[in-house]
Amino acid sequence: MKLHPISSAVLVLLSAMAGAAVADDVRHSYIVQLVDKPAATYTGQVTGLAATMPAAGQRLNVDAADVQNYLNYLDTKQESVLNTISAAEITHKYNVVFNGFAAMLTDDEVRALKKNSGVAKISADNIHQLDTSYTPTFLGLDKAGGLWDQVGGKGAAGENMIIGILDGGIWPENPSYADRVDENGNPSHTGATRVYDAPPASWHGSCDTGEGFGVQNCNNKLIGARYFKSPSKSLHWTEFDSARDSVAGPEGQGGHGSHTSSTAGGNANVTAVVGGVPMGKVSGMAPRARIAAYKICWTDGATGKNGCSNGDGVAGIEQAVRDGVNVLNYSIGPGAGGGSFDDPIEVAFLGAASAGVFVSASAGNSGPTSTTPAPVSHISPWLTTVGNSTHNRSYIATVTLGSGAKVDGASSNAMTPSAPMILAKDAGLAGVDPANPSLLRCFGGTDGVPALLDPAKVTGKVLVCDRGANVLVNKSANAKTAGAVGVIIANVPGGATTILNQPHSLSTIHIVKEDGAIVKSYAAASGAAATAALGDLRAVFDPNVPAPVMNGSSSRGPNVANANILKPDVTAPGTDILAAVTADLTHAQRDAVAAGGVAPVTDWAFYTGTSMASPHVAGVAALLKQRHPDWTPAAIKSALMTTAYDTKSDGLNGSVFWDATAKTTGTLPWGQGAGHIAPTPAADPGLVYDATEIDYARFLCGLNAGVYSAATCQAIGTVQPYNLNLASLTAANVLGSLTMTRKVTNVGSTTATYTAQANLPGYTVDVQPAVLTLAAGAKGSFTVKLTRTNAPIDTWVYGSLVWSDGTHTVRSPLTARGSALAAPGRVSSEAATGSKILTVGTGFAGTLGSVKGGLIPATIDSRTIGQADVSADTNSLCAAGGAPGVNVHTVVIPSGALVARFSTFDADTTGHGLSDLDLVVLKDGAVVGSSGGSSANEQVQLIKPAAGTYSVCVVGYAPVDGQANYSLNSWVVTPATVGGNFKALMPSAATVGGTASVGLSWSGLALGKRHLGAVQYLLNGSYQGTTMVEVNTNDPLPQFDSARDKYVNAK
Amino acid sequence: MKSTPTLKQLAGVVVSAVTLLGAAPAMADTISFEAHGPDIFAGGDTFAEAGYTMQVLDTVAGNGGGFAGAIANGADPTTCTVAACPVGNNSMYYLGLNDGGLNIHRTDASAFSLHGLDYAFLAPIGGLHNFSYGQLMLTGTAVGGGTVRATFDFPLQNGAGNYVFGGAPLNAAFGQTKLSGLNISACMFDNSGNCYNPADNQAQFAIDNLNVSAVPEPSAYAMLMLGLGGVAFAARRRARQAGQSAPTLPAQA
Repeated sequence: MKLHPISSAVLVLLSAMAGAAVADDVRHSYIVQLVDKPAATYTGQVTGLAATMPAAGQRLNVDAADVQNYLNYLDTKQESVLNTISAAEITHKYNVVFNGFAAMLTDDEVRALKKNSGVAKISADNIHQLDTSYTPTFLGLDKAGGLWDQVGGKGAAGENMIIGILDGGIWPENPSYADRVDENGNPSHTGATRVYDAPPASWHGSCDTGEGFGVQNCNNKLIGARYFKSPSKSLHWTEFDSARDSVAGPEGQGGHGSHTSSTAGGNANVTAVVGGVPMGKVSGMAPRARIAAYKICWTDGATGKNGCSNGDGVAGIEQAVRDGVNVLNYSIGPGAGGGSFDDPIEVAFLGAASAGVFVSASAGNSGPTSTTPAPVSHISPWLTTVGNSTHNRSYIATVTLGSGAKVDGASSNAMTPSAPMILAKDAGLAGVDPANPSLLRCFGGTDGVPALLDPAKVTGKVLVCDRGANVLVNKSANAKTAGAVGVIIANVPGGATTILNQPHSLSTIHIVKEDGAIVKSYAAASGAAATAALGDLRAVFDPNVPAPVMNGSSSRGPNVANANILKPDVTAPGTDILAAVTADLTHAQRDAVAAGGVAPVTDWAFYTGTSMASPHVAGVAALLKQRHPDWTPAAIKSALMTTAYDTKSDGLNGSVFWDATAKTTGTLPWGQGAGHIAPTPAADPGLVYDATEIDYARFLCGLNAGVYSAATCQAIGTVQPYNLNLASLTAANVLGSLTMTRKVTNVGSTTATYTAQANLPGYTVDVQPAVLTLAAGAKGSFTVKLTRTNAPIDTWVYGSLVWSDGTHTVRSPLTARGSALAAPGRVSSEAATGSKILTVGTGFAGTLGSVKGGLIPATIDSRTIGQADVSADTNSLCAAGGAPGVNVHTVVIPSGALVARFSTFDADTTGHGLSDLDLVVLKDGAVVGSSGGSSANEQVQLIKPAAGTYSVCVVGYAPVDGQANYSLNSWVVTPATVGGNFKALMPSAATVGGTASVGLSWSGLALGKRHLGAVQYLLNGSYQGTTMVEVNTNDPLPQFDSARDKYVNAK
Repeated sequence: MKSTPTLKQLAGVVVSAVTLLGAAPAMADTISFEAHGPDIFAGGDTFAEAGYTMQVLDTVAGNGGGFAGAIANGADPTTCTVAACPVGNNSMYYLGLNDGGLNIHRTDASAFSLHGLDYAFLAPIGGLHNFSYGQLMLTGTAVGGGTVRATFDFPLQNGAGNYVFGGAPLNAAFGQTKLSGLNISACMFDNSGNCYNPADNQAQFAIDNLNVSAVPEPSAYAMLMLGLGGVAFAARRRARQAGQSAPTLPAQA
């Protein structure tokens, strides 16, 4: 708890536990946060040093004398902590947006720093992942009177705004980044006419040279390029040790940084070419903005995986703010399990926002239709978190048969020159019945069944597969395994009638059943002479396609760090986005680029993911900042939210696993946030909900989030999270009734009178005052009192609050959940004997009941695991009883269990944190939980699990050297599993809207173990919630929880 | 510390009273809660230390058996979640919770007196503005009838924004009274400056180092009269500053 002086208090505990901890001499990267504020949020607490935080709407100027003085002070203070560790192990120092450093530390060094009074927090340096041709029109940017017009037309849109891209680098030769035009006025690096002047005078950035990247690669469009990497990092051959985006292709991971930067601020009038096919002209959202690339994501030499460490990320954010960017894009994530407010990246973005920089971040690609759904990431209120939705342009391609007949179908990658064509029924292995439906449907290894296709018959040919039964992309993957060069998927009579664009790993076109009949009759007539070519990929606009629709892969809320803060904030186009990427080069071609010898080729591609949505918002934010130079990042975010519109139905209606009453439906705030951005209305929103650093600081103080010191919190006070001045109103625990407060600013040019209209099913909503008359620039406060009438308890309901003056419609999502009890979901301790007091919020009068279980150590099952076939459906392999690399641990859960938890840990797994294991838990063949991070730190937790036999499968996603020893830790906590004299006591009286203390105690737990217990709260016998009780007596280290999911596979 | 001047005045009274007492026959003890590890208690639970029995009292609004007390380890920084434990005490201390109290009496039922204790406010949430939101209430039952009472404003926060322990010197008020029992509880201020309990479970306190002495023989009644005079004085000087009160702390969502 932050209310204690950690240094002295922890010391006593630790000395009592000496010998209990396991120490690893291998160094791991950690981020150490120190107690002083960074320059971006410093408000003058140190005697003799003036405040350095800039005024609202202004940007931090690091050259100012006051700022330099304070930075010197921080450097001096940092030294006293840095002196305790080897200088060689320090990888980054920070003082502008984050005060601290990153270093490679041993376990013993981390435990020593835990006791240092100058240290506020130590975080594992988690690795995150990189999570448009037509979209300016879809967003209405280029229509008459649209936002481009308002700022002087497409030729001025984003003028002198600087967009910083934190990503995997940039491919500078793409004309999206040229500062010249050719004789036709199209962007060209070799054009005769330079159309960009020198960067704005406020720009402090530079063009850092490195492998295959010289100062000539920057210009007056691409004005900055820097890269951040710990010196010890080894690089894959596809990488460049510079700001250059790495190579794409089968082995490479590059392209993402070029895609995001060209989407946000790439030049207009750039002709995109995909697979040799011109796709028309593309443009970034703010085509006249300047771009600065900050490369923080690298493909590792040992693992071949691309990742972005928090340590490099904070260094990039820090430098970008120093350099003077206006907007930052961060299409990286997800934070493990949704993340927390004190994550170093989130804290650094608080510094960036305080320094006047707008931050757009991706919500994550772990939505309900992804293989391992997870909560929305980037949960902090000071940044704008963006979901991924569709637009209404689709892509088709043509099958050209040897007869000359052509049929069109859905495709995003058709590029197979004419080749022999074979039907699946003719392509089976010896002994496979040609009428076997699985053969017709091209089943194979990716479906978890033995191969059916004969490579001798398929290699070098276009294979025709029937639709049905298995995942579409598995058909093409199985065809690829068998050696096919192209795939035609044909719908069949009686089957599904849609044709879909899917991320096929092989050139594929999906056709309707009528066209399927044409293809099959041609094959029957031609026999072995049949040929087909797949190509002519092109975009078509289809007004009948409903759009926007939330992509099922876009991560959903509620916000796991605090459900009173709505996330995501908005949605933007992120599906089938065409933008610049890197080329697919051979090793030799790559070496030539690295040596600076050739002018590399350029390329474009369709990517899908929240990574693609975020830069749309970054670009639009640059336009809004250009239009309104005095707007704060919060004002820009508010304008985007209150003018957003609803997405169309996505047909989903499941529950998210971290909050049973929240639905996955895309049209709810958990999917679309406030809605889909509408840039032109956002330029004239009428009212904005503004917020600055002091508001976020009070919010963090109220949560005891540990970002600000207790002394700061004492001075500034607190604000309840539901009262933070956001354009969304979200109340996670309405204990009877709740009054929320907000303040709006009239950003219109004249005095206006706004009237409130609010609705929330099952509640009365009282807005006071209901009418606000505000002069231009004036602020007005109001309250929104929610009183529950007939809304069910513990169930989210959805409504809205709209202020209207007849011209402007200022809409906020209003979302609430009635509760009888608000209790922490998890408490933890490191003491073998301890007591605990937790405050709960009460929405009832009377006595609180409870059931408890634990504290019990884990049941440990140690085994060895090999490499799994990660292209297969590991869930099916688990259900089938296991496979090589898929170990099944059978666990029986009795009725009445409070919780079941299954975990593996890096510390118990061979590979020093580099082995990547996953966990999936099935009951009756259905997945009930999964965990898929990039190391062996995995956890699945089931609250109130149904009785039965569970299959807990450990998957060897990537064990080091193909094999790892691990220990599966299982806890099944029931009222009968007791230990450590665990007690739980409840208050005997409570009042509606009050608080109460709940007590827990235990004694004599064994040292060196992870213990788990749980308390269920009951009111008149009915369940109200659970608090997990973790007591780790092993002096735990900060845990690495790194993500693995990249952007949704390109279609 | 806004209440310091008042405490200083009380201390002056204490000094003179002690001087008068000279060699009083007291068996001084300190109830430090060290003998008992971290634990939690429901109303009606008892524990013992140094010849004294402590009985936990549930809130009067409850059924008598609710969560009302705990022994906390000040060296464990994770003791409080959402709630904000006081700081500056790295030993075991007692917490009175949910408007409950603690009754103290000699296990052998003999008389005793109380000379001082350390006390602090247990805030239901962290980050509160630096006010004294309530008082510690001491009610002693005198041998032979009658009660003595004393109240003390909770000490304010330290520079780091945490509530801390303060000393409550009691020689003047209690030290000379032969007690058969003592109740300790807390109350919260309302807008009018009245201090009330029950207080929606928010009257919560921490105590430590109770300086007590058993009084084995009834020999010094005359001197006790002097002490009772001090009690009346202290009661008139209840420490609290106008304008610092708050009716109810905000609920944590």
